[in-house]
Amino acid sequence: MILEVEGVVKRFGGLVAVNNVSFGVKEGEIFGIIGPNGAGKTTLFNVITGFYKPDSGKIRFLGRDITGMKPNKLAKLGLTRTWQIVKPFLGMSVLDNVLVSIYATKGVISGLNEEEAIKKAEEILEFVGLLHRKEALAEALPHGERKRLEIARALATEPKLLMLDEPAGGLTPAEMDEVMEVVRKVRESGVTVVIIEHNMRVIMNVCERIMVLNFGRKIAEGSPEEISRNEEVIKAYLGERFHVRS
Amino acid sequence: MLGITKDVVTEIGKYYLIALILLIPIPLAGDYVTHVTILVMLYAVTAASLDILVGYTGRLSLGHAAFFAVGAYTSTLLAMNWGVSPWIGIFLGGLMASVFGLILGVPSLKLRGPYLAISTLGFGVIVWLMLINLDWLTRGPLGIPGIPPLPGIGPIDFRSKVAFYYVALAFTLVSIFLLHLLTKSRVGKILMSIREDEDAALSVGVDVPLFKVYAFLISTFFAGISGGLYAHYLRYISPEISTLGESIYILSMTIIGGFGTLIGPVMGAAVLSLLQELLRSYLEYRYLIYGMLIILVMKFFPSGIYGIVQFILRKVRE
Repeated sequence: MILEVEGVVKRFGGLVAVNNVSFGVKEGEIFGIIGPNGAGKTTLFNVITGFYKPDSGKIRFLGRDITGMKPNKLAKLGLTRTWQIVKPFLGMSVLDNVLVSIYATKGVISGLNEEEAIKKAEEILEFVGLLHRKEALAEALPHGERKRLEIARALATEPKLLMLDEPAGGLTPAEMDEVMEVVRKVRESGVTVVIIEHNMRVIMNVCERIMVLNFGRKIAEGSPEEISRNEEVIKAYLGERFHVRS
Repeated sequence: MLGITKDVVTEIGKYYLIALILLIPIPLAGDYVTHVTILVMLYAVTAASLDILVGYTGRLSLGHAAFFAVGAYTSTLLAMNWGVSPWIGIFLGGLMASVFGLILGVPSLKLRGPYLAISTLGFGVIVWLMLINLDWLTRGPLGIPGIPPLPGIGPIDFRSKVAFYYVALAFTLVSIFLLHLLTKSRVGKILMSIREDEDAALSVGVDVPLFKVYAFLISTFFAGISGGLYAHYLRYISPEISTLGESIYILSMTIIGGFGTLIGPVMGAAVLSLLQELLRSYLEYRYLIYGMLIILVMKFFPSGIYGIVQFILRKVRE
């Protein structure tokens, strides 16, 4: 297991956003987390990636306890996330966006020399299909390309585990396919991937195992087929009434 | 080093060489022009140093005059009470300004937007009140007259405006050149990533608090050195140099010049200083004018004078 989550609880005042969730991610797989709006997916993501501290529970990455560790430390260890609402460094060039990751993780003074750093950034941009845009300001990119830049920037930290928060959100079907193609290529290069997604087509296509959250609790875990047949999941997604009638 | 390649140094360096050549003959225009240019240059470095915080790191500061004043008072008191040579004192004044930068920078790390603005404003006022009330050390509102000038080197006497002018010129070009290189370096790009989005920077491994502190240290250091030179040039300082109005004057230069461009604030310093000279008889209204200029620039020319100059140059080329 590359990532082990044990009994994580996160409360906001009286609301229990994540309630005693446990799961594990195997090395080399694409693991999906789904659930209706407000199920606690993004909160769980924020807890794992160090943006929130859990109220209780343990998180281990590569066998090491990382509970409450700062996001920048996690990125250096090899656990990097992307954002559902993309956060490109708008006023900087596409190349500089990726270079920041390299400087930040490899070191500003030591680390790669400038030519090596630029070469590496260009390879990553090539990988996600953005090399032809490297001189452009990030603010000039359309949404689909921003999503790919988001992934490029995360890849430049050389993650062992990449956590993608709705990588296909707000994309046209064609753009979605491009992003999913990138995600598959990422996995093939040996990176483990965890995806939060709303789009069932994406998740069913690309994930090997899926966990379903509802009201902060884990209600199911299994292969895409198992999940699509699971009664609880159908209830959560389509509602009790629909379930009874069908 | 730090991602600064030889190409960058030569590309930027040539502009500084041109500036040097253009500025060398200024003293020929007489004492008054020399005097105004010296003040413009000291303000230019201070405004450019503020740009590292405001324009590059996205940290608004309404108390930058405090660091200028800390540098000025440190160097002055060292020279007058302990006989420290101003050449060393000015440098120590820069370091002391950085210590004050740390005192403000660390507790304000997590503050954003208006909260940060208020805390920096408050800090500036605290320094001003200290300078007024610690009168056993600073002579309070009376200020300190008779500050020793820069010690002469051989036959050169720095009480002369012309001699001091060349010291200020060297200091200005070197400081702005170093700050310029900083903005092109790896550190500069990391600071910009913090300006654009702190959470995104954190998520790709940037130690955001550490680099914010670096920005404070560097920015305040240069403001402090400018203050030291100012003290040994005018040879009189008072708490007036650390007022809120003075901080806003410096911030106006940075914003009206075009923040996030480094050279913009230098232009801003020149334009506002000239404006101040021209409007001598309407001095009470100056903040009214700066306030309106800031609003106009933010609304219509966010890239400031620098942006306007670039726009005109582009049109001319076409």
